[in-house]
Amino acid sequence: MKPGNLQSAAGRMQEALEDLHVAWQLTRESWQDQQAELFEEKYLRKINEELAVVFPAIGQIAQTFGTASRDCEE
Amino acid sequence: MTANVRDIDAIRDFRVKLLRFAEEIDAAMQTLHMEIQRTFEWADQDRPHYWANQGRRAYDQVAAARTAYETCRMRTVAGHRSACIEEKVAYDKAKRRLEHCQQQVDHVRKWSMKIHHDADEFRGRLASLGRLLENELPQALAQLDKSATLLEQYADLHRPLPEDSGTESPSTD
Repeated sequence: MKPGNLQSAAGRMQEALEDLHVAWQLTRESWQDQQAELFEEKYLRKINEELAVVFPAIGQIAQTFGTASRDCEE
Repeated sequence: MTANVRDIDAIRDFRVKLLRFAEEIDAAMQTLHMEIQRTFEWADQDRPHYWANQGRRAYDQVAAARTAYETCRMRTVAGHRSACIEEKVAYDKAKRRLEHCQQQVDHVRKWSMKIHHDADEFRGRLASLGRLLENELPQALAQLDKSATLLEQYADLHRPLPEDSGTESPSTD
Protein backbone atom coordinates (compact mmCIF):
# COMPACT_ATOMS: atom_id res chain seq x y z
CA MET A 1 0.00 0.00 0.00
CA LYS A 2 1.20 3.50 -0.86
CA PRO A 3 0.02 6.94 0.27
CA GLY A 4 -2.43 8.72 -2.02
CA ASN A 5 -1.33 10.20 -5.33
CA LEU A 6 -2.57 13.78 -5.72
CA GLN A 7 -0.77 14.67 -8.93
CA SER A 8 -3.29 13.18 -11.33
CA ALA A 9 -6.09 15.26 -9.81
CA ALA A 10 -3.89 18.36 -9.94
CA GLY A 11 -3.15 17.67 -13.61
CA ARG A 12 -6.85 17.24 -14.33
CA MET A 13 -7.62 20.59 -12.69
CA GLN A 14 -4.79 22.30 -14.56
CA GLU A 15 -6.02 20.95 -17.87
CA ALA A 16 -9.61 21.97 -17.13
CA LEU A 17 -8.47 25.50 -16.31
CA GLU A 18 -6.41 25.76 -19.49
CA ASP A 19 -9.36 24.54 -21.57
CA LEU A 20 -11.56 27.13 -19.89
CA HIS A 21 -9.10 29.92 -20.69
CA VAL A 22 -8.97 28.91 -24.35
CA ALA A 23 -12.77 28.68 -24.50
CA TRP A 24 -13.16 32.10 -22.92
CA GLN A 25 -10.68 33.71 -25.34
CA LEU A 26 -12.68 32.28 -28.25
CA THR A 27 -15.91 33.50 -26.71
CA ARG A 28 -14.50 36.99 -26.21
CA GLU A 29 -13.89 37.27 -29.94
CA SER A 30 -17.67 37.20 -30.37
CA TRP A 31 -18.76 38.78 -27.10
CA GLN A 32 -17.12 42.14 -26.62
CA ASP A 33 -19.35 44.23 -24.42
CA GLN A 34 -19.33 45.39 -20.82
CA GLN A 35 -21.43 42.41 -19.82
CA ALA A 36 -18.61 40.10 -20.88
CA GLU A 37 -16.12 42.18 -18.91
CA LEU A 38 -18.33 42.01 -15.83
CA PHE A 39 -18.75 38.28 -16.25
CA GLU A 40 -15.00 37.84 -16.48
CA GLU A 41 -14.43 40.04 -13.46
CA LYS A 42 -17.13 38.45 -11.31
CA TYR A 43 -16.69 34.78 -12.09
CA LEU A 44 -13.58 33.90 -14.10
CA ARG A 45 -11.21 35.98 -12.03
CA LYS A 46 -12.55 34.27 -8.91
CA ILE A 47 -11.97 30.85 -10.47
CA ASN A 48 -8.39 31.81 -11.28
CA GLU A 49 -7.80 33.13 -7.78
CA GLU A 50 -9.18 30.00 -6.13
CA LEU A 51 -7.11 27.67 -8.26
CA ALA A 52 -4.02 29.83 -7.83
CA VAL A 53 -4.30 28.99 -4.11
CA VAL A 54 -5.21 25.33 -4.61
CA PHE A 55 -2.37 24.36 -6.99
CA PRO A 56 0.50 25.25 -4.63
CA ALA A 57 -1.44 23.71 -1.75
CA ILE A 58 -1.65 20.43 -3.67
CA GLY A 59 2.08 20.66 -4.33
CA GLN A 60 2.79 21.19 -0.64
CA ILE A 61 0.68 18.33 0.63
CA ALA A 62 1.96 16.03 -2.11
CA GLN A 63 5.46 16.82 -0.88
CA THR A 64 4.43 15.97 2.69
CA PHE A 65 2.97 12.66 1.53
CA GLY A 66 6.09 11.90 -0.53
CA THR A 67 8.47 12.56 2.36
CA ALA A 68 6.26 10.55 4.73
CA SER A 69 6.27 7.70 2.25
CA ARG A 70 10.05 7.62 2.06
CA ASP A 71 10.44 7.93 5.84
CA CYS A 72 7.93 5.22 6.69
CA GLU A 73 9.12 2.62 4.19
CA GLU A 74 12.10 0.34 4.71
CA MET B 1 -25.64 48.91 -21.12
CA THR B 2 -25.48 47.97 -24.83
CA ALA B 3 -24.59 44.53 -26.04
CA ASN B 4 -21.93 43.72 -28.57
CA VAL B 5 -22.33 40.09 -29.48
CA ARG B 6 -21.45 38.80 -32.92
CA ASP B 7 -22.48 35.21 -32.26
CA ILE B 8 -24.98 34.30 -29.56
CA ASP B 9 -24.04 30.63 -29.94
CA ALA B 10 -20.58 31.53 -28.61
CA ILE B 11 -22.20 32.32 -25.25
CA ARG B 12 -24.11 29.03 -25.31
CA ASP B 13 -20.93 27.17 -26.27
CA PHE B 14 -19.01 28.79 -23.46
CA ARG B 15 -21.76 27.82 -21.03
CA VAL B 16 -21.22 24.18 -22.04
CA LYS B 17 -17.46 24.57 -21.53
CA LEU B 18 -17.98 26.16 -18.13
CA LEU B 19 -20.29 23.32 -17.11
CA ARG B 20 -17.67 20.79 -18.24
CA PHE B 21 -15.03 22.71 -16.29
CA ALA B 22 -17.18 22.54 -13.14
CA GLU B 23 -17.65 18.79 -13.60
CA GLU B 24 -13.92 18.25 -14.11
CA ILE B 25 -12.99 20.27 -11.05
CA ASP B 26 -15.62 18.49 -8.98
CA ALA B 27 -14.32 15.09 -10.10
CA ALA B 28 -10.72 16.13 -9.38
CA MET B 29 -11.75 17.31 -5.91
CA GLN B 30 -13.43 13.98 -5.20
CA THR B 31 -10.22 12.23 -6.30
CA LEU B 32 -8.20 14.45 -3.95
CA HIS B 33 -10.50 13.60 -1.02
CA MET B 34 -10.25 9.88 -1.83
CA GLU B 35 -6.46 10.00 -2.09
CA ILE B 36 -6.22 11.85 1.22
CA GLN B 37 -8.42 9.18 2.81
CA ARG B 38 -6.17 6.50 1.33
CA THR B 39 -3.15 8.26 2.83
CA PHE B 40 -4.86 8.28 6.24
CA GLU B 41 -5.38 4.52 5.97
CA TRP B 42 -1.76 4.08 4.95
CA ALA B 43 -0.47 6.18 7.86
CA ASP B 44 -2.96 5.01 10.52
CA GLN B 45 -3.29 1.32 9.68
CA ASP B 46 -0.93 -0.02 7.04
CA ARG B 47 2.34 1.45 8.35
CA PRO B 48 1.77 0.85 12.08
CA HIS B 49 0.73 -2.71 11.33
CA TYR B 50 3.74 -3.25 9.07
CA TRP B 51 6.30 -1.92 11.54
CA ALA B 52 4.73 -3.63 14.54
CA ASN B 53 4.93 -6.86 12.59
CA GLN B 54 8.51 -6.22 11.55
CA GLY B 55 9.32 -5.37 15.17
CA ARG B 56 8.00 -8.73 16.39
CA ARG B 57 9.99 -10.56 13.75
CA ALA B 58 13.09 -8.56 14.60
CA TYR B 59 12.63 -9.37 18.28
CA ASP B 60 12.47 -13.08 17.45
CA GLN B 61 15.56 -12.69 15.27
CA VAL B 62 17.43 -11.07 18.14
CA ALA B 63 16.48 -13.91 20.47
CA ALA B 64 17.54 -16.53 17.92
CA ALA B 65 20.81 -14.73 17.10
CA ARG B 66 21.65 -14.33 20.80
CA THR B 67 21.01 -18.01 21.44
CA ALA B 68 23.22 -18.92 18.48
CA TYR B 69 25.95 -16.60 19.71
CA GLU B 70 25.84 -17.87 23.30
CA THR B 71 25.75 -21.49 22.19
CA CYS B 72 28.77 -20.84 20.03
CA ARG B 73 30.68 -19.22 22.88
CA MET B 74 30.05 -22.25 25.11
CA ARG B 75 31.47 -24.53 22.48
CA THR B 76 35.14 -25.57 22.64
CA VAL B 77 37.10 -27.15 19.83
CA ALA B 78 40.30 -28.91 20.86
CA GLY B 79 40.21 -27.04 24.14
CA HIS B 80 39.81 -23.62 22.49
CA ARG B 81 36.80 -21.40 22.54
CA SER B 82 35.60 -20.21 19.12
CA ALA B 83 35.68 -16.45 18.38
CA CYS B 84 32.11 -16.78 17.03
CA ILE B 85 32.61 -13.78 14.74
CA GLU B 86 29.80 -14.67 12.35
CA GLU B 87 27.38 -15.24 15.20
CA LYS B 88 28.36 -11.93 16.81
CA VAL B 89 27.89 -10.08 13.53
CA ALA B 90 24.46 -11.69 13.07
CA TYR B 91 23.49 -10.84 16.65
CA ASP B 92 24.54 -7.17 16.25
CA LYS B 93 22.70 -6.94 12.94
CA ALA B 94 19.53 -8.36 14.48
CA LYS B 95 19.74 -5.82 17.33
CA ARG B 96 20.18 -2.96 14.87
CA ARG B 97 17.16 -4.17 12.91
CA LEU B 98 15.04 -4.31 16.08
CA GLU B 99 16.14 -0.79 17.00
CA HIS B 100 15.26 0.43 13.48
CA CYS B 101 11.79 -1.14 13.68
CA GLN B 102 11.16 0.51 17.06
CA GLN B 103 12.27 3.89 15.66
CA GLN B 104 10.00 3.42 12.65
CA VAL B 105 6.99 2.86 14.92
CA ASP B 106 7.67 6.31 16.44
CA HIS B 107 8.34 7.80 13.02
CA VAL B 108 5.03 6.53 11.66
CA ARG B 109 3.15 7.95 14.66
CA LYS B 110 4.72 11.39 14.11
CA TRP B 111 4.08 11.31 10.37
CA SER B 112 0.48 10.28 10.93
CA MET B 113 -0.06 13.37 13.09
CA LYS B 114 1.59 15.64 10.52
CA ILE B 115 -0.38 14.11 7.66
CA HIS B 116 -3.67 14.69 9.50
CA HIS B 117 -2.69 18.25 10.39
CA ASP B 118 -1.59 19.17 6.85
CA ALA B 119 -4.57 17.41 5.29
CA ASP B 120 -6.97 19.37 7.52
CA GLU B 121 -5.42 22.63 6.35
CA PHE B 122 -5.51 21.48 2.75
CA ARG B 123 -9.15 20.44 2.97
CA GLY B 124 -9.93 23.89 4.30
CA ARG B 125 -8.49 25.36 1.10
CA LEU B 126 -10.40 22.87 -1.02
CA ALA B 127 -13.61 23.79 0.80
CA SER B 128 -13.33 27.30 -0.56
CA LEU B 129 -13.10 25.91 -4.09
CA GLY B 130 -16.05 23.66 -3.30
CA ARG B 131 -18.13 26.67 -2.29
CA LEU B 132 -17.23 28.34 -5.58
CA LEU B 133 -18.49 25.28 -7.45
CA GLU B 134 -21.66 25.03 -5.39
CA ASN B 135 -22.64 28.67 -5.22
CA GLU B 136 -20.98 30.85 -7.81
CA LEU B 137 -20.65 28.57 -10.81
CA PRO B 138 -24.39 27.85 -10.95
CA GLN B 139 -24.90 31.63 -10.85
CA ALA B 140 -22.41 32.05 -13.70
CA LEU B 141 -24.16 29.38 -15.74
CA ALA B 142 -27.52 31.03 -15.10
CA GLN B 143 -26.09 34.39 -16.09
CA LEU B 144 -24.83 33.01 -19.40
CA ASP B 145 -28.15 31.34 -20.06
CA LYS B 146 -30.03 34.55 -19.29
CA SER B 147 -27.76 36.68 -21.48
CA ALA B 148 -28.04 34.28 -24.41
CA THR B 149 -31.82 34.02 -24.04
CA LEU B 150 -32.28 37.80 -23.92
CA LEU B 151 -30.10 38.24 -26.99
CA GLU B 152 -31.98 35.49 -28.85
CA GLN B 153 -35.30 37.10 -27.98
CA TYR B 154 -34.01 40.47 -29.15
CA ALA B 155 -32.68 38.95 -32.38
CA ASP B 156 -36.05 37.25 -33.01
CA LEU B 157 -37.90 40.54 -32.54
CA HIS B 158 -35.73 42.29 -35.11
CA ARG B 159 -35.68 39.63 -37.77
CA PRO B 160 -35.20 39.81 -40.72
CA LEU B 161 -32.07 41.94 -40.70
CA PRO B 162 -29.97 40.14 -43.32
CA GLU B 163 -27.21 42.76 -43.53
CA ASP B 164 -26.71 42.87 -39.75
CA SER B 165 -23.97 40.49 -38.72
CA GLY B 166 -23.71 41.98 -35.23
CA THR B 167 -26.43 42.48 -32.64
CA GLU B 168 -27.01 45.81 -30.96
CA SER B 169 -29.46 45.61 -28.10
CA PRO B 170 -30.24 47.87 -25.19
CA SER B 171 -29.18 45.51 -22.46
CA THR B 172 -28.29 41.92 -21.58
CA ASP B 173 -28.51 42.53 -17.82
